[in-house]
Amino acid sequence: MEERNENGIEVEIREHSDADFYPTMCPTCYTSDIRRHTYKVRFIQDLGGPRICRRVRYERVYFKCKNCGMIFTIEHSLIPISSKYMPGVIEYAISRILERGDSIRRVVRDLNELHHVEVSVVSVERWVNKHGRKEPISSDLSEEDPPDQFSGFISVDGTFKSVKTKKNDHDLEV
Amino acid sequence: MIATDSLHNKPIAGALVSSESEAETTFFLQTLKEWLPKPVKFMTIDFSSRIESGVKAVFPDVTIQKCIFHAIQLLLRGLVKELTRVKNERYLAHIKEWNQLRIISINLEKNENYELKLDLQFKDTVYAWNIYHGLRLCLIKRSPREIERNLSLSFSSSTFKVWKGNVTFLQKYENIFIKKNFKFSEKGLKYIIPKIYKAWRGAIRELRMKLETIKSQFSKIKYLILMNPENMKPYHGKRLKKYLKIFPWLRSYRKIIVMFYYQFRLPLKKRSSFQFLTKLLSEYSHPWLKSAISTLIENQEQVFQFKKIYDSNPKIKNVKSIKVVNEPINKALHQLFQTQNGMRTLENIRMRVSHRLKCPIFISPTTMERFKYQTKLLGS
Repeated sequence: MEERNENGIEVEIREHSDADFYPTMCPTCYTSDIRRHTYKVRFIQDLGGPRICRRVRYERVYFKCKNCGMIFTIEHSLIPISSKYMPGVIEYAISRILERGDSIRRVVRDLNELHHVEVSVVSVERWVNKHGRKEPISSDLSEEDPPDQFSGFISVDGTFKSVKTKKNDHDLEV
Repeated sequence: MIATDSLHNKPIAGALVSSESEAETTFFLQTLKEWLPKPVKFMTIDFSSRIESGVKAVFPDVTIQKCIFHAIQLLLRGLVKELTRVKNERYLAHIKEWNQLRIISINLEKNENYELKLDLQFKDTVYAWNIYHGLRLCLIKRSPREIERNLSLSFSSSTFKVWKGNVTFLQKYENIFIKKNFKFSEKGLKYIIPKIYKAWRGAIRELRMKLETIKSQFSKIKYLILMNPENMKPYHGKRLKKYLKIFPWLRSYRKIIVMFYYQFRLPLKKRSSFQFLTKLLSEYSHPWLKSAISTLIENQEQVFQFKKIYDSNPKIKNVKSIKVVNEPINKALHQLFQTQNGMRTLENIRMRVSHRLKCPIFISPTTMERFKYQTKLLGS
């Protein structure tokens, strides 16, 4: 782990490499005659603190099979393919927005200012939509599982909220 | 609309409906009935008659509990309205009258032919106006000696001595001659007469300010007398005692409110009917209070239904959530809508609400139709 100080903020850089998980055989011909071909280094943003900026230096290694000439990569267990952010950052944003009901802009501001993760509102919006909006709109509960421990005592209440429709929203024109 | 498991205090399911109508409630409850694994035995609802009729249509055998939080809220809202009415009637109208006197007196001094329109309700404003009238009669005389004699005669009269503003007036009157050094003369009258009128206005201003202090004290006690004795801290009690000395007529209100709160703690057999609440009513009472009391009397059996359940199921005696609807859920929803600045698409609402409340949310066909129609209108 490397540490350096930039403008009073400690930058913590962890290193991960595909070479730590060196493949035992070629995925095509299953021979073990493999060599390291080339690599690409990518910096991935991780959740920091108000005074700590965390980054991951990820070395993506390309391997070559000496037997069939196939160039291949492996899937790192901690780092998703082509991701700019560690999974913890996405989980943090989603739990705050969907479970705690915070606004996207507030979470983005916190990520930028308090956790030193440079992210845009649109990216976070995309994460939220991907994780939250899965099921189509339904007008009954047939696809939902009923509660396991239902006591037979219920309370019913209503609350009034105004809902506006977006001009260019075509989701409902089905 | 949201249904909550009262014993586990967890939301079970929710629906986006276009209104809290009987049809929408019936649709929601019918869907819930088909989906739930066990029959519903007991249901807590608020005082909405539309929800009640929906419940009766879908679950005819269910025991209905009317939420006690809403019962208390209903009475307190009526009482707040009533006390505001009393405040307006007793204090605001009175303060307005004092202001009216001030304006009329200024206009009269500016213009002798000013058309006088006075309709005074309160005794002390009438009294103050009579004093002013007396002053005008004295000051109309031409000779300074005569004015001085008439004024001293009127100040020594019993009518003037009884007036509440006499001390302030006399102080200000004496200051004209001591501080400003004016004397009763032909020349001095030009300066003295306006100052005498000003002194009278100073005296009525003081009376009005006293009234304003009482009014602000009343605003403070208004909320203290509505408090549940169980939730009161020692300093609340001290303040309440202090203010009840100023407003002794509020004691009867407090007594009835305490009795009302006490009913919820008493065993079922010992509790008395809500009929005692009618003592709060008068001919002029606010319509909200009248309607609240009549609703409470009509629904009192259902308000105390939870006591029967507690008696029959001692295991759930400590479960408070069966006597109230889950209001924190509504709070969470309000907060959600506030942070999101409203929601624009049904998908978005469903996603956010279901994740926030951790329960499935469905949308009634009527709401869906309305949304489609609105989207088409906006798109065209």
